[in-house]
Amino acid sequence: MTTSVVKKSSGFRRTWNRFKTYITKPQNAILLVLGIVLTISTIYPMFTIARDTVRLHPGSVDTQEKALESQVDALGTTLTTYNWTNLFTDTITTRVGRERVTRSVASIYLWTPLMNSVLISIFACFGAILYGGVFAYLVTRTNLRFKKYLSSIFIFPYIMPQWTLAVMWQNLFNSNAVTGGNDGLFVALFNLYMPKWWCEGLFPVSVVLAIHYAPFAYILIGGIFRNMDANLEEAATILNTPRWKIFLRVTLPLVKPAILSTILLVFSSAMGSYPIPHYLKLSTLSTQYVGMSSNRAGQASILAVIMMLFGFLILIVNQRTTSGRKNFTTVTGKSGQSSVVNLGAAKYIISFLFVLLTLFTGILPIILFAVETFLPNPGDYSFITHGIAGHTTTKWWLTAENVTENGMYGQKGILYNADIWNAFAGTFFVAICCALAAGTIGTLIGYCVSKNRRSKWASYVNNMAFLPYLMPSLAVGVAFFIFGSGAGIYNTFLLLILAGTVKYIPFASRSALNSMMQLSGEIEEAAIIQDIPWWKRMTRIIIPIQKTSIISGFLLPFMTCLRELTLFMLLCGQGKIITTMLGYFDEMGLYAFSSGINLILIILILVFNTIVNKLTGASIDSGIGGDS
Amino acid sequence: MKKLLSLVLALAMCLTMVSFAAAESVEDVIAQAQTMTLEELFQKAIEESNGKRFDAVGNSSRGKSVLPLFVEALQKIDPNYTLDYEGGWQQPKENKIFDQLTEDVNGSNHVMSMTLIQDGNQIQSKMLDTGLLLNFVPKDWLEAEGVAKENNENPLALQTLNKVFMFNNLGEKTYTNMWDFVREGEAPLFMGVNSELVGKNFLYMMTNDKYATIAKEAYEAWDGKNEEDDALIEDMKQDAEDLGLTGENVQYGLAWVYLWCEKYNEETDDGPICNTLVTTSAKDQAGLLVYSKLRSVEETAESSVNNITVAAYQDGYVGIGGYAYKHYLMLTKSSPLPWTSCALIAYMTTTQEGFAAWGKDMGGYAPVPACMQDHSNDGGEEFPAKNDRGYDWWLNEGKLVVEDPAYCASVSGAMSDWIDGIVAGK
Repeated sequence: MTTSVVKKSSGFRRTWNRFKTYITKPQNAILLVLGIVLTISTIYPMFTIARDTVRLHPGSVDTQEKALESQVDALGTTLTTYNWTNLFTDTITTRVGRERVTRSVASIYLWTPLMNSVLISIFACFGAILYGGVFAYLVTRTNLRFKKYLSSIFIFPYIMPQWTLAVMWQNLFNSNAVTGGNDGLFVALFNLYMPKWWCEGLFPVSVVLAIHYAPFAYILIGGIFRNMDANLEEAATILNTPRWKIFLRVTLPLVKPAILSTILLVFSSAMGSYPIPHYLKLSTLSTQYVGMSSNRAGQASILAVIMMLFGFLILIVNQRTTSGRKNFTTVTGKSGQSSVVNLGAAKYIISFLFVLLTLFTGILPIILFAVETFLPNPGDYSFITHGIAGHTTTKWWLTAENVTENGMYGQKGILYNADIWNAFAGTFFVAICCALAAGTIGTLIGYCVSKNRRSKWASYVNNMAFLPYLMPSLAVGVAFFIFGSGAGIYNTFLLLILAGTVKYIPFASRSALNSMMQLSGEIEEAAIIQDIPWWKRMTRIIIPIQKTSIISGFLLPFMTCLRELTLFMLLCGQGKIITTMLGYFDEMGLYAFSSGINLILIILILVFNTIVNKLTGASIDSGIGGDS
Repeated sequence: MKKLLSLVLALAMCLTMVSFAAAESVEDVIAQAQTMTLEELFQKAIEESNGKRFDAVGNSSRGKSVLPLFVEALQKIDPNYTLDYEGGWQQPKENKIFDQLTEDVNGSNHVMSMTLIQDGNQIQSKMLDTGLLLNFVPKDWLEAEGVAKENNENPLALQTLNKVFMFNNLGEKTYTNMWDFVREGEAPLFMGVNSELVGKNFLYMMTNDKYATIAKEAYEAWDGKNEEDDALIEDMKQDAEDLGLTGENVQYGLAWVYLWCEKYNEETDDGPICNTLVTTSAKDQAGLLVYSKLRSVEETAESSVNNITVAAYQDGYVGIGGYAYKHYLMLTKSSPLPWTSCALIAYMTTTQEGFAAWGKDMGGYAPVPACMQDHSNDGGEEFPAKNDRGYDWWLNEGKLVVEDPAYCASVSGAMSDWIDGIVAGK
């Protein structure tokens, strides 16, 4: 008996001592705490959505079934499998082309949106990586002209709320003859009628998403290109390896982690994107989710679950692809250098091509935004088409009274509109808080995981931190909406900051992990030998070396937060932050207000970026090559 | 010590029971409030909410502009009265108003006192059938001169809004019959049936025999009909049976709904529809949109109110001229400030001052005539389309399809899928 107590006691002591030893390492302690916190903050929203698929929803199809009607209570606590069985096994009789047809419920509500979602996600990934990756290579590794200008302009589509490009697309290409409604700018100016597939549906949605996320690929891939030691490529050159082979065998494997990160982030974002398919008329899982939420609320949640499953699938693929020694150390204690590829005479042609492309994606929207704020009616370019200079107005900026006539809908002009400025202030507050919280947590995760590369717990924490990003923004929004309404914090900044932080940690953790993985352990080991405390090692060695990537980890949540709509649209009223207000103005067709707000938003971000650049030397793009 | 503890616990229990017994339920407050005049309700509101926080949720953002006027009205009685309403009027997006109200009432922390809400179908099935929202009808409203009680009393309507057929008149096409909007080659502009659900309610209401009969009469008078259309209408009898719809002429309503769903061109809001229709390049384009949007057009070489025609204003137009939906006012079952909510509802529905935020627009009609402003000459002779012919005209001559929450809720289960199937198969 005594022996067994002693054995138990010594066993406990041994475990306790092992735990104490483990926890004394800062990276382990941080991992433990973050692992617990992230498990709760990540699992809870997923649980909420999953639970919703088996709940009854008063006023929804699951309570209209006679058998279930009697079980309904206002709390909706009764569980049912009806939503799953109805969606996947039941049929509906409807009409297509005047013929009576019987269709499965899933064919109406699931398969087509699912296929569209997958296709736009694949195309957006492909387009973003191709466009952003090529641009990143050109800026960082070649003697491209106008680098500073191009680098700054290239990120504009990412700064702008994504649906503004979609609205611009409509305003440019729609026509009365093809899409119905009035003629867009292309018809008005050039009498050019674009085909319907160009104006609405899969093609424009994919293109707009690719343009929107290309800066993302540029930032992630460019960061690697910039830090890459050219000695590796030069060694291959000395060995007489062809240039294409060097690119495929040396360069590409080195940027593979960044490409995979881009795929992970873009695929999930594209799949969860609501506004672009909404404006460009494509049925996707996210638009279907909103459309079904009144009459098929439980089945809408099944759509969210399916979107989440895709997230898991990508995560598994990522795990498989990056397992083993497929991450490369490119920043060491040794000196490194980067070489510049001479494009020769092609540099002018390529530079001109990119100036032209960025003109369309970065400059033209801004010009159109500016012009729109002086049009008497939305999209009314009569001052150009009829040459009447008087058909412009400053009412959208300067109206100081609350008037309902002339399209003002009771709104004061932008400069006098307290609601707009309050929404701006709200947005900046939320963005700063989210950036600080997500950036700090993400950086710590990146650091701790990179120090425990072979640890299963570290891998778990890393995956837990990344999972919220793989969940569609709408689904996360719904989960936080249910939580916020129950807790009485709906429409508060607290709820927005909580949701934003959880959702944006992956930006910072991926950015930090990518850079920390490149950091040789010998750099910190030298400091450890000299008994330098952890915080000092972080602030004096680690952070300064990877400053660019770490600040990117703060800037990305900040910027994303500034123009985020899908995540926040369910969590607050329309006047709380500027994107919900912007979305309201766009939906109402008050494009002058939304254009003015967009202009101000872009200017503010650029000012902010410049300030950060001056203070820290880092910026959204400068660390990549824009400053060279 | 034990005795003392027991005494304290017993005292605490007694106090709790007394406080529960003393607290009035929202139902009790409503029952009493329905017997009081506006002045008496104001008095109760002052007693209840002076210095407190007030939160409400609404589909219309104008609710927030009525709150300062309401406080001013109470301050005339008690100059020291204050109400903290800053940021308290919330307007959720994407149909989330129902989820928000459900969570608020069922949750442990009740914030919302009242709501201004639209979509009769969901109000009936999600809010009234579940008892989450409670109706309050002010005494002054019931006794008001000329009050239109029908369809406005339960639930209490703040206003009726109309969406009407309009078309760009610069082209060759004519629209003199409701069936002209669904003839071959048409693509009328309309908000998506699942993005603004009052539009779907309108389609549900078309199967009500009252409106299906109007559709039948219009069809018989329509010179554009052909054998295919006749066959479709005949075939719709089977659909009606499958959907559980009864009514002598339901197949006409159903056929029109089918053709409309097959043809409409979806827009995000009525604003863009209006902006489109009034332009010179939108020749032969038609749409179904909120009438009041016409006030927002600024005259230019490209855009003019005179480029559109309100279909029902034409001499000899046959059939429905559009549809009407309502903004309802109700208290939450867990309203933290029920007296104040009743007073505010009475203020909004029985005084011109309280209704002013909505009354300034054409196309919006209060049940109490005294609250209304005259919009019969808003456009004068220059812009006749803006001269609102009024609620009675639209109901009788314009033949608006009026939303009935109970009917919508009764048919929505089957009809919703049938409509979604058509839209998905376009």
